[in-house]
Amino acid sequence: MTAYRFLRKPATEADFVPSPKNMGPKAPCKAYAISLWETLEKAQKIYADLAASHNDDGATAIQEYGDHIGEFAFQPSDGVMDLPNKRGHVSLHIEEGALFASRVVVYTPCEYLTNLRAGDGDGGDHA
Amino acid sequence: MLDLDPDFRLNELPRRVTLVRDLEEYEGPLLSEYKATYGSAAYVEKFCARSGDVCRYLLVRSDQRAIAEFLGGRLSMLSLLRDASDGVGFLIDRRLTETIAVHIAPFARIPKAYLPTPARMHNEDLRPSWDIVPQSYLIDEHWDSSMFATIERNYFNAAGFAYLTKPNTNRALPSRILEIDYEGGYPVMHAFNAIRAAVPEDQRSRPGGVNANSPGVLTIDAPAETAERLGAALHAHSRSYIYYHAVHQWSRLSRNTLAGLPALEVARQNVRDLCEALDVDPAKLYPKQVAPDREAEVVLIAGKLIAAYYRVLLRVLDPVQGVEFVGVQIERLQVESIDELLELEESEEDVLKFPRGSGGNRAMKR
Repeated sequence: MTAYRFLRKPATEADFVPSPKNMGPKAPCKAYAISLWETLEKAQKIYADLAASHNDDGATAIQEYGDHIGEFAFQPSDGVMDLPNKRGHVSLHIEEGALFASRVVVYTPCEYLTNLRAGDGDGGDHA
Repeated sequence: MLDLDPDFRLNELPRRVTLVRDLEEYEGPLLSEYKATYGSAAYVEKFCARSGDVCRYLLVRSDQRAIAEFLGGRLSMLSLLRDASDGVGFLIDRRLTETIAVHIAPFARIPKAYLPTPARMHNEDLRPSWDIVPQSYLIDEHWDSSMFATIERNYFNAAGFAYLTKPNTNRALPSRILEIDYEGGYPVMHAFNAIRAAVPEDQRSRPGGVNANSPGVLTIDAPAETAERLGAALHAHSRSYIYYHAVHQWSRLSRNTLAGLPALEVARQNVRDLCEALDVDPAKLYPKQVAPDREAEVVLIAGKLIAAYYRVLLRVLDPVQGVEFVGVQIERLQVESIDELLELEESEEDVLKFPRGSGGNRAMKR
């Protein structure tokens, strides 16, 4: 299966680590999974709203999530994942030792940031 | 992460708050609803920034109506954070679940980077998977407490029908409503009473709460499956009108005027079309066994039930004047054109005491 994740270019393994803001003694299982998106289009829309959650021209989004969307293919040894939900989101619990950074096959710039640089005010369309 | 003015540092939050639920999340909470641990005050908390494993959040006072408006796509995130805040928020630094610093922050001094852009609205795709989904109605200044019972009953009618008629399940409508006499005595009302009672208790929608300010909000808590099914039916409602119209041409006939029914296969197809549009299993509208001399009557009953469901959905979307359903983000429904042709039947249901709303999902003043 192919999926999409927010990351930096070039990706490092740090781009495939669950966010520390989700951790804690009573954190649910999903806190230890990384988020992926089923389609590039969905990923672009989600990134736009994540970035628009901060009125800083994308600075926080770049720090938290990166500035590109990486496409890569899964294999069974990568870990345990659920099926895409109706929102196109996939959670992947990474198998210890699985590596992803070198397997990103396509890097797509986040449109929100591209539109900002092109002078489209709030970064373009988003929900 | 920005250093905060130590003059504004507090030992702790002035009031204990308890997490109600996350409203948006992406690898951790982005926006959350809290309530005062002792009392009814509502708060929202937004993720602002992170440095290593220390995360900073903004906590502000809010209210249930604003939260409902935000989730319903009526209010921006910025307005949600600002409007009910009384001009002040609390910046909370946490490492995992441990609070390590609290600063009070006049809203005007909160860094822009901690706040959303003005255009940022709620994105349903960032919602967590709630087990119970709030379905809210915005209420204007002219509410009457008896309206609440009407609104809730109508929602429960829709929810019960949606639950029992879900395709590819063993669920079924109560058999007696497929066979009762639909001649006078509010039979459809009694049918929906039976439908509501047939839903298992743990799958029933329940009153969530009423914030009876003027304006205020009424919330119904619906199991996730019900909310999802109703949401899909409501999204399909407007474009399903053509199929409803076909059924409505004959569903108001009586046992004595069955001769006016179209050919049975045409009528069955009309029922199937409307059922398919609203994701209802048409087989559940018919008794398991039908005597040959009752075939026309059972088709008529099936038509009455699915047409009544369509109207119940319309009442969910457009309940009474001064009330707006925001449980589902839906484009403006062309209610006016449908209104001309619906012709509510007094004989089939409760007579609403209040003028039914018009105009679909219209913006309401706060």
